[in-house]
Amino acid sequence: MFKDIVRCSKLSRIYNPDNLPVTALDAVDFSMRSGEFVSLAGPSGSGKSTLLNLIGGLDRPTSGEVEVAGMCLNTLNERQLADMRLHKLGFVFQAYNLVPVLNARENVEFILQLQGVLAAERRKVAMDLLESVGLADHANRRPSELSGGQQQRVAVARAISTSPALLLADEPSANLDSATTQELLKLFERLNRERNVTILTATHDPVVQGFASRRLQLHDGRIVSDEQSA
Amino acid sequence: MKLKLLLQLAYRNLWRHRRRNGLLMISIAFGVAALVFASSFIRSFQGSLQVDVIAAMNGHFKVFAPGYRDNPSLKSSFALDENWSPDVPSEQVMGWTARVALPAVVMSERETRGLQLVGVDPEAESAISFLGESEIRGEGLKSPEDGKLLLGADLARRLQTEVGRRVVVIIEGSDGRSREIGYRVAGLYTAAQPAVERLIAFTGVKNLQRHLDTSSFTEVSVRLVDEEFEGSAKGSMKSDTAFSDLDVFDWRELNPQIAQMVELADFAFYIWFVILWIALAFGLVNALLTSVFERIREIGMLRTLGMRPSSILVQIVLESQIVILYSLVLGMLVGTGLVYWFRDGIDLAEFAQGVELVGLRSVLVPKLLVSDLVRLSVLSLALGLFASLYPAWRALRLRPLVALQS
Repeated sequence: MFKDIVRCSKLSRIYNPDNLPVTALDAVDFSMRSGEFVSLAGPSGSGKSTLLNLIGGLDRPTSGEVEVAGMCLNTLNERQLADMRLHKLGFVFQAYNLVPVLNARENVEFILQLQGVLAAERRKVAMDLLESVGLADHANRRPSELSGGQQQRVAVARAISTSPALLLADEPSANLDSATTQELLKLFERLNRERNVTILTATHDPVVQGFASRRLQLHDGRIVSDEQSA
Repeated sequence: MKLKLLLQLAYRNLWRHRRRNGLLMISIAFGVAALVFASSFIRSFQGSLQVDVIAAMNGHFKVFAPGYRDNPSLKSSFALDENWSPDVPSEQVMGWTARVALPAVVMSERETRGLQLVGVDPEAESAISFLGESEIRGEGLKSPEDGKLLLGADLARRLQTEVGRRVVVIIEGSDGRSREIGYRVAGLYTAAQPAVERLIAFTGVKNLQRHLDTSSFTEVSVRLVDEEFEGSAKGSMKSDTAFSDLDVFDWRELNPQIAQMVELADFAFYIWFVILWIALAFGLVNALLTSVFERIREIGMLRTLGMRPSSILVQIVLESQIVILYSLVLGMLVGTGLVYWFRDGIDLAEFAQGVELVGLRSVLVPKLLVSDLVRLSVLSLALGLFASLYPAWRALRLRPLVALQS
């Protein structure tokens, strides 16, 4: 295994560098070990999502380096980045972002199918995961037939279906009520503990931060605190 | 496996907007049906032109002595062994005949007209030319010895003569002198081509040869069972030692204008096709673009999850191909149904004079070719693919992060 799943060194992202430059990240040094559950907190515009996007290979840094599961993302082209995301990362979005024309099981199978996993194996993994997130009975329902919390649990099942090196969650509880948020966080905690899933989540929500084993605070594009929970 | 997923996504995405895509499919299907229907009449026109010209005594090939076509006379005739037959497999030959065909003048009591007098073997002639199917008022010719005259109904009308009346034909004999031959009109024939009916009169070949003091023929005509044997048969005819000093022509060489019209009919299919697709391609591109713009966020999500740009492109292309495939099936069913509905033909009698001028029969019977349906399908799918490239390219250009945040 890699010592560090994520390693960022002197990572900067400046938007509009030529006209009215906005520094979203300012020479951030940050690393994450396998099995950690890390929360990124901070006010809007502090750089949480930017850091998440750079680690997810969805954006490119203005300067500095980002390395995920031993791969330096700076040197990868679009296709290689897509492959890296497919094989190394899992994503949970604020807006769930399930494929609307696929049912819950097919959504969980989706990434496995992109990876070329055989149908029988895909189906077994998907049903096991839906079982573990408490949605086995809803396997044949489309996203529009599920509540927000249910959709987010399907999204989590999809994200971990390929046992990714890192699960990235951007404000996963933003659209959920407090009870559903608690359920989701317990699911994250369980996945982290039982399956050793490494989780990095950006959040405003102090409840989410409370579940994380390590809490980072960002402000104006810099990490201003880095705390381990007791 | 990935293609199966892309197909599944493409197929289901189409049904997300049933009304929009349904209307698009119906409009394409309507165009396809119209094209199937129109092409069946183009083929009918093409087929009737070709069959009529072959049946109008051309056959697939004709053999002449050099110079005959420029100056038809017995000076350009040739002898033919009684036992001769074409050196073509018998199953490929519908029939053949040798004729004496010469320009002549025919006089009735009231009118004088120019014509071509053709001496034929009625039995062999009926097997390969329109005479076999022609409606004959009065009597047909009975044998090569028959000394009566079979006139076109139109020519008889112009000569103001009738069945049973006598006419005189002036024609040049083998010695270069004119002969006057008195004939009784045995019958009046009709032909699909008005020019034939107006210009050609038949009599028994042996009787005519006797009048002209010759045993030669001026032409041999061979008709094949099917056009597909034309190439090899023409080769055999040209290498036939009996024709070593003679010229062999196929029906296209004999009727270049008609051959060109037959080829033009092929071209007409493509003109119709291009007109149809210029109209439909805008609808298809518009629908696909709308579909891409509606799904920008979703496309961003798919890219984020690791779907390659090429897979997005394939998905958009597949969506267009599915639309076209459904439209083709629906359009061809409707088009074929229409062709079946009009299977007895459309009567153009009201415009008969006009249509005959361009070589059409007054009743056009639609003719549907499987090759046309295949060609229509392949070209439509290819153009659909082409039309989907721009929307697919727009989808490709989306950066996942920007698309996700849209």
